[in-house]
Amino acid sequence: MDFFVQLLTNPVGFYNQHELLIAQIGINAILAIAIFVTFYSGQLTLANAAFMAIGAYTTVLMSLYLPTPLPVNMLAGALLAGLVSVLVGLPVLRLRGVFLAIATIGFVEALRLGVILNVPITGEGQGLHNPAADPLGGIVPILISLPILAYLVWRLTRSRLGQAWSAIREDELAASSNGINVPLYKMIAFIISAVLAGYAGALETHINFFVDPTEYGITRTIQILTFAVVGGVTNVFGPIVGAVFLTALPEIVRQFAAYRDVVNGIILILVIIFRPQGIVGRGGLAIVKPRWWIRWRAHERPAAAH
Amino acid sequence: MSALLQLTDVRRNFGGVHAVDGVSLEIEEGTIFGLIGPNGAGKTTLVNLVTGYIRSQSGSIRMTSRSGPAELARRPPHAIAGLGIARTFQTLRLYRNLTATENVLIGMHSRRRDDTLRQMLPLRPLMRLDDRRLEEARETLLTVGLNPDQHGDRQASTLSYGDQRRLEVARALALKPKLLILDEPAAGMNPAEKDRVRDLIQQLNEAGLTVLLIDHDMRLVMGVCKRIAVLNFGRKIADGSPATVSNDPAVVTAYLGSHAPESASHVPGSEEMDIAATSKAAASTEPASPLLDVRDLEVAYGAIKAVRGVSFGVGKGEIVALIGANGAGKSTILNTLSGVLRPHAGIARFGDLDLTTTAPDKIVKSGLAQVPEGREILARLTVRENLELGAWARRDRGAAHREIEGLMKQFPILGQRHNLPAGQLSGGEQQILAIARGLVAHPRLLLLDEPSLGLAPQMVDTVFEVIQRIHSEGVTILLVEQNALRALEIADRAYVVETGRILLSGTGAALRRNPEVQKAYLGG
Repeated sequence: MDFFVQLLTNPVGFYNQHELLIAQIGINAILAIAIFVTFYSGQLTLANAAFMAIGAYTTVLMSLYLPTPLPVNMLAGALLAGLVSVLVGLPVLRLRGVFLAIATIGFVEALRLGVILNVPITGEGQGLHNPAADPLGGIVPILISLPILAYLVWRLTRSRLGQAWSAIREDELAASSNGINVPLYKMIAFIISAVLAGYAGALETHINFFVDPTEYGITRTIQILTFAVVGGVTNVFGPIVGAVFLTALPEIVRQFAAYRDVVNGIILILVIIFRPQGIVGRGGLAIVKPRWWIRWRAHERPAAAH
Repeated sequence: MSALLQLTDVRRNFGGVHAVDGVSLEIEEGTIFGLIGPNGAGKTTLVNLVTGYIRSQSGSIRMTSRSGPAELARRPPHAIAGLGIARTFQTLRLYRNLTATENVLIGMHSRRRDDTLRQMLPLRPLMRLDDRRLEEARETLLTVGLNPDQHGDRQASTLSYGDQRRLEVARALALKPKLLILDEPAAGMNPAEKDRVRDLIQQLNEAGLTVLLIDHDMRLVMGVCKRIAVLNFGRKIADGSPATVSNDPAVVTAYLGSHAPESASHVPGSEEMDIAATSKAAASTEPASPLLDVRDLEVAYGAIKAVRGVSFGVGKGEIVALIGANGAGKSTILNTLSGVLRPHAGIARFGDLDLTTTAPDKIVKSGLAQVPEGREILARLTVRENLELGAWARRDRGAAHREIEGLMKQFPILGQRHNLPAGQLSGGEQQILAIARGLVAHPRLLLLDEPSLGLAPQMVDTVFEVIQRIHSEGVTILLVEQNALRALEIADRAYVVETGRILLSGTGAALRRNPEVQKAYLGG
């Protein structure tokens, strides 16, 4: 409760006290936009943690070894993630559904265990210290980027490209009969998603002093996935709401800090049962009543009449 | 007149099956070209070859486009669509969760300039193009007979079956094609709806569109096509004007089936039939203690009431048919009986079992099996695996296994293909597989939903023979059928369903003589 009271009565104090949380919310929201783009084109890709890692390591290594300015390093990280996504996407995007999910998770682990932990320049398991880290200054680009990216992706879903994605998501075969180049548009979605994730990874290194390889594993991937599932993927604002909600949640329920994961899990289950389309989505605020719920109510009612 | 599309010696095998075996044909610009043939003749495979979904193994497919002749055989589907070939699908493939208007807008994809960057700045003057496109989408909907104000913003999946078929044509038209391929546009439609399809095809053709039409309805194909090619076992057996083709003896035996002339010229109420009918008439009254008893059943999808107070009964050993137009609520009734849908109100009892609350798996175990509309076989599993799934509910695995072997012998079509993926069977073979799968569950009552949907006349005969054989072995049958004439021929009793209510009931023979029924459902 204190959380909301402070947010409403003393926003400046709230901002100062929760700066790191706000920064993390912003980064997670950008990651949510990244996974939204692939979801919107009907692809369940879970490679975002790997593209984050590419963005993060690239920008930190450039800060360490090159004289280039920070924004250039961050953009380079995002673009390199996009470049790698082309190489990964060519073989992997032929897969669909759960097979695609498994292949992309495989990529996440291959990058982390195979490359990061074995190439000396990445600090291997030790991670990297980031000389350019600036936790307070790092918030500004995050808070500027988020609305711009959300707006651009929202407009993108309205364009010819976005309509092609919708068509592919609904029915690939029909989409190609309408003249839509299915492999090309899937690849475009995958690249945009990778660039966004790479950019989020680059941003994150600058609120932390340290790049830790364990951050970029399956756990992270699943966390990003839950933003989309809880928020809903009907439009770009769903995953953002999911990211804001799930990132702020541990702070809101501080009393239960020890049971944080339990609370997270319960909320995820409740959303899947009662609101399968996510928090933001079709149907206003309606909740879905599962069959057992209806049956249970039907048994309740005659009893209540007596 | 020049040829718009020219196929030369096109071949395609699946395993050892010659699906398309050296077909050559020419479609002239501005014509309506019909392609007919029994189920499994290779018609849809040919369409898939032309549209690039399947690669041909040899031969050439040439199209005369604006930039001269183009070879289609090595191009991907989207490129072929871009050249101006639009198609609809035998089984509807709409963007189900998008609105009708969005479906049409996506159809415009290939002739729409990319506007991704312009969309980033949604300023009023720049959006005029969007308005124009929306206006065009509305006009396209109107062309096919959909009302943009009424249907435009509705999700495609919520439209009625006939409207969904129309929407698919609208989406194909949005491409502004030179050639429109319609794969069974009238499947599952009643005569009145089929007439509207015919009018639409003619209207489009008069506006300059070349049409390739595949359909089993001979009245439609013969009435509208200027030239017809007949396929059988992957080969072209005839090609010419409707009159030449329909008099070709090879076509008559291959396509219409041996006793087709009789049923084609059959006038409802002919004497021979009356004799059969009177013998059945004795058992025509409602059964005293029905096996299935339905009273005041009401089923709704959200706000839309699909079934509004329906009562009927099925006695042990009967064949009872429900007939009526698309969207009348027939399938909804069957889906409620099998427990897939739950009713709003009313009673449905199967013996002692309350069907309105029992779980679907328990309903199957108690001896009520459903063969769903559209067959719903599992395409990637083999024929045998599909049948084994039908035995899922049974405890006596050994007996079930023996029965599957028995069914394979009983239906040699399945026995010969038991290791083939079910998706490679033709439509009629799939229907028989679906019925056989229903039988494995050992039903006392079998619900059949549109068993003749999309089948050639010869195959329809086979399926109806199968139904009668099952019935003679003691299985009670509740049949939902669009082909009212055939359904009434074999039914002891029938009910006419319209807009969720029962309009008429009586013996099959009596309903067949009823002038109202003849006019509405028999195409008489």
